[in-house]
Amino acid sequence: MIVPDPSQGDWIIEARGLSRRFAGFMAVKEVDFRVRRGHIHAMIGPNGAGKTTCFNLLTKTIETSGGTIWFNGKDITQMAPAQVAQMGMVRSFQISAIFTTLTVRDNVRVALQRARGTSFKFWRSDRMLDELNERASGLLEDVGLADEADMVAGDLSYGRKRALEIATTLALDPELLLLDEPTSGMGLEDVALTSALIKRVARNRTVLMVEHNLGVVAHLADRITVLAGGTVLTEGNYAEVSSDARVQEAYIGRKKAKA
Amino acid sequence: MSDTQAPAIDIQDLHGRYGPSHVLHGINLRVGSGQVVTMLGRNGAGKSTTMRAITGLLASRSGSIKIAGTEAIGLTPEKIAHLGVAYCPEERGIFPSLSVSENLMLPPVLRPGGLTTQEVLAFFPRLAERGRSPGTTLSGGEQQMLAIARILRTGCRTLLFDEPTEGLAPVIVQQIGSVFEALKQRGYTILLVEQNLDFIMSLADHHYVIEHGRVVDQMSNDELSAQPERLEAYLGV
Repeated sequence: MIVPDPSQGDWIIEARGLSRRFAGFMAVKEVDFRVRRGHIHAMIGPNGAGKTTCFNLLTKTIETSGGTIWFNGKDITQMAPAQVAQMGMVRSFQISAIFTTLTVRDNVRVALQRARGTSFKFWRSDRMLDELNERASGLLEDVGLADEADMVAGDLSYGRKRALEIATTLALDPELLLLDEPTSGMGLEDVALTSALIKRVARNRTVLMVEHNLGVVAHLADRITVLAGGTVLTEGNYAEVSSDARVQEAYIGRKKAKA
Repeated sequence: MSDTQAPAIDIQDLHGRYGPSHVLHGINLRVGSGQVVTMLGRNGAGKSTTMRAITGLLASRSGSIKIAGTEAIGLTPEKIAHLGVAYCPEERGIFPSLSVSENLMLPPVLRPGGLTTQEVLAFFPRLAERGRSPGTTLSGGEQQMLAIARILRTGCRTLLFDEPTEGLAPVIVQQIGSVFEALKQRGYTILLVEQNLDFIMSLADHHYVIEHGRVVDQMSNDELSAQPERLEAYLGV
């Protein structure tokens, strides 16, 4: 049996031969992929390249058709999504997932209660709830939502909803945070805020993100994996992958991207 | 725009409400026949709501919306579509249980002069490859391509796109740019909500800036190209 070799470096997550078939269509085939602890690692590629499927496989949201995944050296291939989340790998979604009728603060509090396993214990003391409020305020401060804490989450603009979603994933204090198109659908002002936020939260954790905004990728990512047609086309830093002729043809196109 | 031809879209003093909240406060906006016009502004400014008002999907609307000279403020969405207006919403609206080609062929051809299915698939080869896949197995970007492609067959000559490049790889954004360019050459009228400034500046004739449900500024594309900083105050770049 193949196991990861720790002598090669400190990899928080590693996948080998990762594959997924959908009704006669190989969305991901034989992908070998790993992320160094502490990095911001981006996954880019043409639409339908298998980026979101890779995310779903890594977080066990869908089952693999083949291959092995290790998280912190431990084989997680057969684990349930909740187990993987408890081990410290938490993801966001391409389409925002928040409770629209709760306040911004309560969205974060629900996530904090989940992290502590105190959900639904309504008889807990006020002191306990105050402590949650304090941590919720801290997280909202981190993502720049302190002023909106008492608003109903459904009334936030799209970009601010994405920031709230990042706050709820951070409530679980993940070692590895997976972000699926964090700036998608955002106006320019929100893109800048979100990319600063990702940089800030990456200081004490590893981030793996799918992102189409090359400005964001160039600015943030330590390492970039380029997927195309369900396989790894190449990997490297931004200068390396953006100058690769195959990446230009499959992804960036004729115009050189601005950094 | 010639004086003899009515604008493709002529909006005057448009007000719109979602339940009790008043979101459009007297929008005035005009799209000449054959023009590409954008609505710019922050999230929540009222751009998508304006599109929903034009298509008749916003139930509570008042003022005037003329489509090629015909008053459409009181018409149902079906009647407005028959005036030659097609709409590609930001949420894409792909039917998950239908295949790619079923989704593509679903909107009826309302009038002659639309693109043929072959022309549409030539613009989006990825959709031809995924033809029989169910909508549920499409990636976000593939759904976006399908949502755009779907309305090009209808023969509608006035096309409304809400953030068409969202979630698309740069190379596909460029392809969509050339699709829009081709549509413009053929005399189509396009109204766009878009965040990608590089994309719109190579394409559009005129820009409207929307804030808090009102038009707060407008400029030709030449003016914008000469003074891109004029947008910064509104968009907070």
